[in-house]
Amino acid sequence: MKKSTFLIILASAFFAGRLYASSPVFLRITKNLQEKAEIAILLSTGSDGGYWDSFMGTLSRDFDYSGYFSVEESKFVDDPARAKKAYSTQLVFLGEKTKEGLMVSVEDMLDEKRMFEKEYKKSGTPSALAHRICDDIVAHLTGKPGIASSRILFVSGPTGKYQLYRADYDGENVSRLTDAAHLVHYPRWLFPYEDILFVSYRGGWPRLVRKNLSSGEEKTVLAEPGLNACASPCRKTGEMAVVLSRTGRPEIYIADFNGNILKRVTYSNSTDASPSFSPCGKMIAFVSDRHGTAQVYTMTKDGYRIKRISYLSGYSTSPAWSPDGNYIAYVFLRGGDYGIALYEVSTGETKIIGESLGSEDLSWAPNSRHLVYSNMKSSPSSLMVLDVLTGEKRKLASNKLNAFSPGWGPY
Amino acid sequence: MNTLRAVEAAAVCGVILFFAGCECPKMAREKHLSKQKEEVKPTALSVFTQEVSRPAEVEKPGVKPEAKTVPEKQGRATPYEVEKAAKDEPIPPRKIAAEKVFKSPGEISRELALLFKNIHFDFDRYDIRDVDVPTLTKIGNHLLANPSMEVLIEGHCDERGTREYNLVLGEQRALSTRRFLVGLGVSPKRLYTVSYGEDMPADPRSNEEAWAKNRRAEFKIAD
Repeated sequence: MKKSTFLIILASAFFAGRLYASSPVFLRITKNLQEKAEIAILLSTGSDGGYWDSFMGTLSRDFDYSGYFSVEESKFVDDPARAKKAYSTQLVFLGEKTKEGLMVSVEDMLDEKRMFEKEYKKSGTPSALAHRICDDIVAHLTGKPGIASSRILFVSGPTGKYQLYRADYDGENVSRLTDAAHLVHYPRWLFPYEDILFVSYRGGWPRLVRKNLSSGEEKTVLAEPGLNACASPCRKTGEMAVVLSRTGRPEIYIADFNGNILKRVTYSNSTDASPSFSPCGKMIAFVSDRHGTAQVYTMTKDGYRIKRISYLSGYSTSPAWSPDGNYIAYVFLRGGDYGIALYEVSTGETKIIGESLGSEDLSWAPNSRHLVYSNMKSSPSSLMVLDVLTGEKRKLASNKLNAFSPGWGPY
Repeated sequence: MNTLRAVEAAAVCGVILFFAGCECPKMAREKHLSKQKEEVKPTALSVFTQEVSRPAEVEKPGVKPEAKTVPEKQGRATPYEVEKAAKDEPIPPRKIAAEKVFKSPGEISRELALLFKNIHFDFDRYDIRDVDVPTLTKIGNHLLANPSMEVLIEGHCDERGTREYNLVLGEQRALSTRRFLVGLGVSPKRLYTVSYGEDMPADPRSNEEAWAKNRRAEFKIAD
């Protein structure tokens, strides 16, 4: 009796320990995430006007933009299941048209194993379908969220006459969101991709406004005397960090999504601006000039343990905490031009991921791997997407408007 | 036999306690910190940062008043901050501000245009420069002589510097101008502020001359 009790207790204590999640399959294939897996896209032929041509083009770009794949070939074939044998790429995407849509599978040619299989209904636009399929495959193979269905907010217009816009992550499908007679600025997703938060000068003073994109309804969230800006929502806690100057100095406050001010966080006489909530909602990265120059700091959301994290130059701003909580990206000014640096929260190490980019604003993609920034050196100013792992940059396609102040997240 | 049983029971309890009872050091630290917070007594800073309660008529639809006042315990302020913290000068309520129409001084009269000149700032700074003190003093004296006059101070930045930080820097410029005038004796209730960041430059060119013109505080007068 004694022995068995003892063993049972030991066994339960053992299982009370941490359960390790099984690692995503894809990491077995490419240990170094900077390497790309070669993929061939094979789609079965069949008449359907331009739908599948458009789908193929978008899917190919989506795989390319995800950063995990290098698309070697994309073509229509009569029998994808047989044609795949001719390819020596690591992965093959097979799309067999069905009565209702598409039967999708991804096979590993080296291990001869089917890694993904799902049937999709042909619904919506070809690009929306391609985005969905790419995201599903990326999530399944890498365990990380895809970015193909994500959308980026931005500001455009001649100086002082801005409007808010939204585009797909690849720059397509640009639509205007506002028709304001007053200044509107600094859009952020509050609930991707339904609700946005932005600063509006309606009534003459900067107020924080929330807008639902389906209904078009706008609601003032914060209209305290003075400045109401720099909102950084944290969806996990339902709180946002904002900058209010109602006491006569701009300070960082915590408010909820309905505009109830919960707490004042900073009290110093210096400028405290640009808060960025960590995804867990416990820490805030922000900009302060309390030691003489604009630098990036972190603190708890109560305002304790204020710690400077930027030491690259005399001017560092625009902190953005990554959705997975691991990094804080920020902009630094050096040699008269802007670059982007990455601060790793767990180790305290800083890595410069780009210099002389003309970057002024930053926003993270949901995968914590891509960043969008506005290149203010180009004419017109343009939005660039940067892959933090490889350093690759791409300009958002078909974006002929001068674009800045992008909001891809927060998530 | 009994001793053996007791030893076994103790070992079992030990194992259970080990897995169930140990607290992660991070949690322990946070508990300790929150305990510290509760023990701290109110300091001088709490007097200066007490929120000014707004008059009852200023109830903006859709915006609930603050749920709780600022907690009394401000223990985190360092002695430096207690010493340096100026008294807060709360901004005039928004509803009252929104009812005013502010015009540029030139639209009202030539004398006002000559008096209410723009003042300028150094790059990334919001302190009042010595060369601007005479201008501001004259403005302050005029405001003291005309107690019904109300003024809007606009803070602006040049295009260098990042957008969002410039919005707050512009606000600091407007506020420090306002603070100077309050220091001369002008009531803060007559001084409104707004920041446009880098979005309303006076000179759209991209050179030192234009940038120096754009780093400014501008005055508008309520009609």
